[in-house]
Formats: sequence, structure tokens, C-alpha cells
Amino acid sequence: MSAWLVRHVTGLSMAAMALLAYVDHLTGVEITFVVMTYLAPIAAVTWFRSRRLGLAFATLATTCTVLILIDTASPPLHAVVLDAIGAYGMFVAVTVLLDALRRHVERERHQRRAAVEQLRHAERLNVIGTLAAGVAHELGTPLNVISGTAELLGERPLAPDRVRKHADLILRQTEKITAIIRHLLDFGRRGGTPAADLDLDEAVRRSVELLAAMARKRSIDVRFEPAGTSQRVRASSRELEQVVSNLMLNGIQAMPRGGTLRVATATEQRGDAVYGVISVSDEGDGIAEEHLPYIFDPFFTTKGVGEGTGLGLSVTYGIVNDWGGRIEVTSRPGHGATFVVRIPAYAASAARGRSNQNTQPWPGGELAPTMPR
Amino acid sequence: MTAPLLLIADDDADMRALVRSTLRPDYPDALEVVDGRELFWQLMRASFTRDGRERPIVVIADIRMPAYTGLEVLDAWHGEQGALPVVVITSFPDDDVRARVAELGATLLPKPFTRARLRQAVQAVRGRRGSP
Repeated sequence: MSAWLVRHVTGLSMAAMALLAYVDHLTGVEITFVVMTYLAPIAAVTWFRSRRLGLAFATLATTCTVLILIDTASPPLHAVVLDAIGAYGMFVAVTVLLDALRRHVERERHQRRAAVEQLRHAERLNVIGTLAAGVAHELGTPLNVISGTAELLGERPLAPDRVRKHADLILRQTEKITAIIRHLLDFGRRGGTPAADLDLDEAVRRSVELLAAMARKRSIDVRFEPAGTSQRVRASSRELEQVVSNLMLNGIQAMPRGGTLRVATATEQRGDAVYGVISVSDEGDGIAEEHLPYIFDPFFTTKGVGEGTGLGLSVTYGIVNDWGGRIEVTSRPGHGATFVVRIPAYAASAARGRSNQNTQPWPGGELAPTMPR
Repeated sequence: MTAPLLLIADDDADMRALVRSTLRPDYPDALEVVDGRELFWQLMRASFTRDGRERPIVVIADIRMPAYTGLEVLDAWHGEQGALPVVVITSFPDDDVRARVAELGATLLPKPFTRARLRQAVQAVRGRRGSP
């Protein structure tokens, strides 16, 4: 803004001078000629810098000058007419000036947006760097154990049981590497599974049951609150299971001192579109505001080594995106976090038609059942 | 003259076993630690049991470990107690890691390394410290 002021200070001073000339004229001092000799070149310069701003200053200056000239040349002209012309000129000048300012602010905002976009790109590159470092760290150790063991095998003849032991070690390490690669593939979403027509409540309930025992061991009470609408969504059951269990695992790990983990489903209508909604809320410490923008980035984790790979939430994000859905997180530090997944769904009428052919796991309207303890 | 005590810090058991078996002929005595905290405690213990017949230590430490990273522990130790013969193992030696390892006067050994390379690295840090 200060740079802008410096750039347009000539224009501003010109407008000020024009105003002064008008006021001076009213007090009887005649400096129109002097003002005009300054005004013309300055107006030209301003015009070339910013058309609209120049126009605003020129209008302002011209109005003042015209008023001075008319008033000087024909004093008998009716004062009301002069006032009207003056008021109108001022109005136009101020309007154009405001418009110019608004445009300037908009341009600045646009530039800021471009800068933010650039920053995001840099961050994305950073993510790739983090990814590379993560992969190198994960793969380095098993690779080293394999190469070292192979060397050991080749150095001198060993007893058969020792050879067997070393071969087993190599096998174990390759399994470790395979698991890492599978995780990465999940992350890159290269091996997608075909989508099917799923009952949202039923599919989520299966995943909740899978993790309920693990949660109980950590003294976490899992509450499942299904919508009971038999909403159907188009997704692969394996992926849906992965999404729900990733979000639940995240919630469980966020509550080291125990608590309640709520998993709920709902149907949401937004205009013509219908969404199946899954929400997972924990009672953990919440997510720090500065971490929120990175929460879905690969290898971003605030957990200790061995707790999480930092891939869970980014895998989840990728899957939900593939469905054409959205995932959002809200959190207040100290008050837990809530993840909400919206999956494009079939219209309610279609869902009702289908629900007749299926037994409903939770009859609609019934109180939400709690997972058995 | 007894061989120096080997302090092997890595959170991966197979990796510790590989390092230990590679260096066993020259360093029969080795202690394995699984995280940064334990590494620090073992360094403390080794320094407190000094009684004029101090036994030299050679540290072989991974960087990525639970609790504290190898570099964090070694940095802290370096600041408090002075230089140690250290081999730092890592699979991702970026510029920052290289600079910090150089500051410690340690040797960097990128993964995956050969057994010969490991022996050389240990030999090199011992020579640099003027240890027996």
C-alpha cells in the first residue's frame, strides 16, 4: 500500500492543489493559471500510470477549474447552477476515485492469491521431498540387512542351519519391503478396486466392529450412530473400510488416555445432490491450528515412531477424492477433532426403493446403538 | 590392551545383529541400544564408570530412532562431554545431516553399506581419535 501511495503521490498532490485553487478562488485569490500549468502535465503522467485514477484526478481538477473559470467569466450566472455543476463534478470524481481504489485493492488481492498459489506449489515440492526421505528411510534398513546377509553368505561356507537362518532373514526383509511398497501403492491409489453399490450404514458398521476390540483395549468407548436411512453410496467396500478404519485409528491414537470415539452416518441433501456422510469424532487433544493445512500431507505425523507412518490420512484423502467426495476436518485444540467424509450418493427415492429388498441393520428412528463392551 | 566397547544404536534388531556380527572379530564386546534415550544412558554409564582404566568406546548410531534421534543424542553429548569416535548410519544423507555429522567429527555411513565399508568406517573414526 505504501508503494502505491508513493507511486500516486503526484496525482494526490495535484488533486489537493485543484481543491486549494477552488477554495482560494472562493476567497477571491486568482491562481487558476498557475494551477493549470501544473495540472496538465501531472494529469498526463497520472493518466499513463493508471487510467482510472488519472480520470478521477482529472475530473476533480477540471470541475474545480471550470467552476473557477465560469465564476470568474460570468459572475451573474446563477449560483444554484454553479453549485449543481460543482456537486455533480465532485460526485463523479469521488465515485471514479473510489472505483479506482477498489480496483487497486482487487488487483492486490489477486496478486496475493497468486503468491499463495506459488507457495502451495513449493509446499507440494516439499511434500515430494518428504516422501522421498520417508521412502529412503523405510527401505534403507531392510535393503542393508539383505545386502549384508548376502555378503555374509558369500564370504565363506557356512553350516546348513546357519545358511537357512540367513535365508530366512533375507525373506523377512523382502516381506518388509513388500509391505512398504503396498502402503505406497495405497497412497498413490494405483490399484483401485471396482466400486459397488453399498449400504452406507452396513458398510461403516462392519469397519466399526473391526476396530471396536482394539479401541476397547485402549479403554476407548466406540459409539456408532447410524442414520438408519439405508442410504446407498457408490464405493468399493474395501476402500470404504480403509477410510473408516484410518479415521478411527487416527482418533484412537489421538486419545492415549481413553475416551469416547463417535462414528456417525447421515444423509445430506445439497441442492440436487445427495451425499452419504460419515463423521468420526474423537475426544483427544485436537489438532493445532498450524498443523491443520498439512494434516492430509503424506508422511506428516505428530505421532511418535511406530505409532503411525504418516500415510493414513493422505491415503484416506486420496480415496475420498477418487469417489468424487470431500473430506473435512474441524478441530479445537483441547476439544478433539471431527473428520467428516461426504460421498456422492443415490437419491433418497432410489434408496427407499432398494431398502425394501434389504433387511435394515438398524431400524430407522431407533436410538443409536452403542458397541457392546 | 582390550578392544574398545562397541555401542550399537539402531531401532531395527536385524540391523543391530548385522553390525554386531560384522565387527565381532575386532570388537568382541558390544552393547545394543534400541533408541536415543537408551543410547544416552549407556553413554552416561560408560562415562561414570571411568576409574583411571577407562575403556574407549566406539559408537555406531542410526539417525532415525524413537525418543531421540541419534544426531540429537550425539549433539548433546558432544556439547557436554566432547568428541567421541562415532559412525553415523543413515539412509537419507541430505546436506543438513552431512553438516551436522561433520560438526561432530563423526563419519557418515550411508545405507545400504557393505560389511567392508562398515569396518573401514569404524577403523577411520578410531584412527582419528588416536584410540588404541
